[in-house]
Amino acid sequence: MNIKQLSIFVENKPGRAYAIAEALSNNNINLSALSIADTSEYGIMRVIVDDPEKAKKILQEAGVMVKITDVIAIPMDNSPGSLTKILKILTDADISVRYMYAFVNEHKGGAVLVTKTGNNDMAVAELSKFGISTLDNDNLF
Amino acid sequence: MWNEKIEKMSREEIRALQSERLVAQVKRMYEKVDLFRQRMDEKGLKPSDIKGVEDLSKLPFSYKSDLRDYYPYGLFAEPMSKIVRVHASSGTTGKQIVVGYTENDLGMWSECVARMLTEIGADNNSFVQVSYGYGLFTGGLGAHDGATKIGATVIPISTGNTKRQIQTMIDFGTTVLCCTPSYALYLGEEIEAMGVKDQLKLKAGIFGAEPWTEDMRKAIEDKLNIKAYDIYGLSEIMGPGVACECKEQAGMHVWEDMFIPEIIDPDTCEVLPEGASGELVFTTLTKEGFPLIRYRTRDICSLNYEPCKCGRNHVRMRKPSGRSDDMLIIRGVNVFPSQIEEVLIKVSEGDITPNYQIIVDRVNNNDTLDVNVEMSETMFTDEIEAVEKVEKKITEMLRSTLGIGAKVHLVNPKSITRSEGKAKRVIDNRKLH
Repeated sequence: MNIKQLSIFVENKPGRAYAIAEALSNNNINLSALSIADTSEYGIMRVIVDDPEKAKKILQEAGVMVKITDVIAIPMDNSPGSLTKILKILTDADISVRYMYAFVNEHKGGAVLVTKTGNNDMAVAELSKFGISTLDNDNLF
Repeated sequence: MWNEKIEKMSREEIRALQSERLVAQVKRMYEKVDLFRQRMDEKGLKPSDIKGVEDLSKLPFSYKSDLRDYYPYGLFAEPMSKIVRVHASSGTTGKQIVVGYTENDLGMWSECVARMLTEIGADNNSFVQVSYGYGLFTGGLGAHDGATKIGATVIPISTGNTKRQIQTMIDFGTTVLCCTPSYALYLGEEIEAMGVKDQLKLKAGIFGAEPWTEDMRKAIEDKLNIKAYDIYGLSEIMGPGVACECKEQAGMHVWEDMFIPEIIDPDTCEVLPEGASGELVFTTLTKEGFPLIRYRTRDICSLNYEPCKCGRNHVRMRKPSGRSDDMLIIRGVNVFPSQIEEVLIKVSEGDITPNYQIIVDRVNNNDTLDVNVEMSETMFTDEIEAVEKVEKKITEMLRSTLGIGAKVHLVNPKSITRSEGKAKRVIDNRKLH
């Protein structure tokens, strides 16, 4: 099962990240997780929000380049070794990780690993063999 | 003087020689160049209608676009068996333009440069360091052949590697330097920083291929402890040496035994009175391989027919003060915004061409070219690697199309300011005029 991530182009200029955050907060969009991949010139901000389609529209109207990307969200214990366990499953199945980031899910008492892999469908299938069911946008929060 | 008989001609003698040569050139081109014949026929002109320079303004113009339309050899007036060299420069599109030279043409070209070198005090005891680029660009080989003609020792070092340039000047005893003025200034600053100014034997420099100011001249002369002379040329007409400064440093003498300059109003195409500023137009009187009649250079300047203190009566052109088209000269290379646009059209692969802006500046005497490109749907993904690939592709295509490097910046969509809905394509922050 995949979830929708917003991938946002952010020029490396003062105020750009602020403009994005402001546009989202003005429209009452909640951010659950965020990571930025950066170069010296620009970054790609990856965020998980409660309403990705609405957020995309808001950002587009604000003149921001944004795309929705399928990623997988993997629930894990907030304890040592849980990340290792997941990565071992992916590694053993020869699935590459393009990028990943994680956040703690207060309400559900655990953590969530968000990742884009070389083959998301295969990753989901492999994880389910070990009793790990990935989350979707609805049961993420 | 290298060629006193020609260089000291009176205006009357120049005019008589030009008339004789123009009549012959028009007759020859009418026979050999299809496009010229067509244009003459369209105007109802026969070669016999041209009896001298007074009839010049009757003749049809020629344009840079002709070189594109008849690429590569369609305008040559001699068979390829007579063409001993070609040079090329930027066209207004991705395609370069090409010009050809017979052996005689190369001889005339080196004659032009030899006159200038002699005038600025060079001779067979001189060491001429040619730090212009060698290759399809006319700068390197143009200066090289002129220096060879006067019997100087040529140091064909070409561009780049500043430390080695300076070490070579010191070790080889360079007395004359040929390069772009911005590079001369850069060399001057490096020489100051290295503290080796007193080890140089430099006396003079010939600088051209890009616009420069009197302030730059003073700075170059001061930093290199030389006299800095201006040279003008364009590949379509020949290359550097079409016009050269003399010791008076008061305008560049156009070698009128080979070229006729005119100044026209770029809009009405009327010839303007003496001294007026307008578009410079050249007719080549003696070129064999690639002759042109009334070629529109797009350079804006004026002509001064007063006799010069140096003893020459060959007309002097002022430094071009701008262009009547949108061509930029960056690090001595001609760049048209349309070339950059063409690259972006290719990159966008049928999608809407991204909006862009070209920013030219001069930092530490080096021209910089930055191209801001608005991010588009097709270019953007969630992965840095893929976006970097797009950026790299644009950078590489620009380099191969323009012949110089450009720094590409991907920017937010709609972030390039538009006035009246139209983006300002070029921002040139250099102060060159």
